[in-house]
Amino acid sequence: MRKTGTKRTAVTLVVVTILLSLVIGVVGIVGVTGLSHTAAELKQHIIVQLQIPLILTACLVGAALSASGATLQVVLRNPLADPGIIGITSGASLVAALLLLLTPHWATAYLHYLLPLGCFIGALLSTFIIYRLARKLLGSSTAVILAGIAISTLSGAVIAWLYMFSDANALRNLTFWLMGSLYQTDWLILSVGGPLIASAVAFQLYFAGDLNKLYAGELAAKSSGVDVEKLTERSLIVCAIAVGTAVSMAGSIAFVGLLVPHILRLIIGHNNRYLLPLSALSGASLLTLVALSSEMTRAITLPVSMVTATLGGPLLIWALAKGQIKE
Amino acid sequence: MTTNNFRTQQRPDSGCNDQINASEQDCISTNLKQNVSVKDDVADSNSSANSHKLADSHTVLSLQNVKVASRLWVEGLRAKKGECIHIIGPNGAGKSTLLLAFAGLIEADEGTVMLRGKPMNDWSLATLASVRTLLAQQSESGFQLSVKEYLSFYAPAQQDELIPPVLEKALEVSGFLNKILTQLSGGERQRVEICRSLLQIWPQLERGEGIAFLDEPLQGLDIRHQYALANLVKFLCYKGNTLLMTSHDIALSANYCDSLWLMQKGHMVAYGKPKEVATQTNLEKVFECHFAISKHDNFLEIQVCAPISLE
Repeated sequence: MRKTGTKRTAVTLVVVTILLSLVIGVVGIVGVTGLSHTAAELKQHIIVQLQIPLILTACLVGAALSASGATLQVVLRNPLADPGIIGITSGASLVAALLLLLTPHWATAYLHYLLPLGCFIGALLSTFIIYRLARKLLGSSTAVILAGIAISTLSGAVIAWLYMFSDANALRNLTFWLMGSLYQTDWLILSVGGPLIASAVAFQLYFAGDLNKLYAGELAAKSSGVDVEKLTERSLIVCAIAVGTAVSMAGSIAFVGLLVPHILRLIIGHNNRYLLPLSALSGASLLTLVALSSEMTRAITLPVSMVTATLGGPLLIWALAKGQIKE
Repeated sequence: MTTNNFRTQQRPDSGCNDQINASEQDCISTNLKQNVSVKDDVADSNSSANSHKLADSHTVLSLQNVKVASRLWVEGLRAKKGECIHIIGPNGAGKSTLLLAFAGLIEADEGTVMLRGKPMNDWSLATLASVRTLLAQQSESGFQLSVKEYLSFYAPAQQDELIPPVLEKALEVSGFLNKILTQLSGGERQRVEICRSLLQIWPQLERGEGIAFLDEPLQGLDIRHQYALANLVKFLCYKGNTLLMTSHDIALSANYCDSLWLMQKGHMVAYGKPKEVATQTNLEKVFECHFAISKHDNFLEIQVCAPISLE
């Protein structure tokens, strides 16, 4: 009983920390403008047109990546799975590269909307190919990861070839996109992406109970009433939608999907009924803090992946070491 | 149980607790009547008439002309309510496949599998889950979750204590509830897995209406826990549950089951009362080893004399 008590405290503490950092992030971002000496009208315009979309993008993308990371890790029975590993990101990146480097000059005006749409399609397409490939190969969770790596390598190669044949400006754009940015959305993109991510994450929360059973392996889960193939398929689709939307809104953002669930498991345990919602929340507040940090350094726009990887690398090493030593 | 005498350890009644002994007498007699032994059925014409019908009210599981992709060919088998069945046979004999087919987790290419008189195809995965359970051979998980958390995902929601006393007595898992699953020894892990699989249908098992398939539950267990498990399985059957388990310990299985099923190369070689199945001819033919078998009034002493020669 005392053990569940400590667990409850841990969960409460985590929730409080997350909400606190979320509030700090939001207040910080809006506060930077609020306190500056600009005209009230301009202030309002900046807040409504730039900063609220920034905060919403950070929250949505963070929630989508973290929750999907947590789901994929359980579905693929691999604690180190990441949305990137099953090739969702690489498919989106490939389409982004094609669009950024090959779009003729007259069409660049539409690129702002063409890019997210293309990335979304790319993400779904690569997931579909990977899943079909995996089913043909072995039908196991390892096969999904192997197929994902194969597709990632392939699209990486195509992107590298595209690099060779493109001009400096397009290259810069692509490099920037590949490192992620939270400043690419507007209200129109948000109004499409928001509901998509929200419903995809909601579906993942709905699967939480079944996902818990998967810890005991495929056969045990099946024996306890979980249709494992269906669950795998649905989870992959839902994750592809969430991550595909996130990638098309903010480019490819490393580490969040791997890191957030991993650290949360060390604190609150493996129950997906808590882990998934808290992953979503933590991811949201983490990226909001990243957005705050890049708002504070106005002079340069920090690529998100750079920040998350800088924070994430050491944290992940710490988490791994702690996991090994524990008890 | 304290003596090192092999014979006393094998006595099925020697390790039973009081609960078991109380109900043992009538259970054994009814079980003997229900036994799937062909000879018994011929002798007793009444039971023979009943037991050959697949839809017998006592039949919980039945299988007819089942074929599973070059791994299993079985003509007809039945398990009755409360029957304790041990399945033995060499590696690759199709024991696990048979359990999976009975559990409805693989589809037979041909033939019918019936559970409680209903064809397997008519059962949904969700309803099956509340009626029968399966212990699969060890699956590895890379997640470092605690034993307690792991078990809680499979335990029925409306249960006061995580591990029912009977399970705890036989499996003794409460000592490492707070340990990390990946840090347990092989045998400890196996005890947790057995506990998990039985927890899944615990309400049914308590009412004596559960069906459990245990694939090599003895794997990795120390000698004390092997016999404790065999006792637990027997005890659950006395309560009316039907349990099928595979095993490589012929001596233990022959003394702790109501029916012994002997398999080889996907076929059922013999089934029925242990002393009729575990004969020297049968065992030597199937296992290609020399056996010494002596019958005592209540148990069979089975020893391997000469294993396969390496020359």
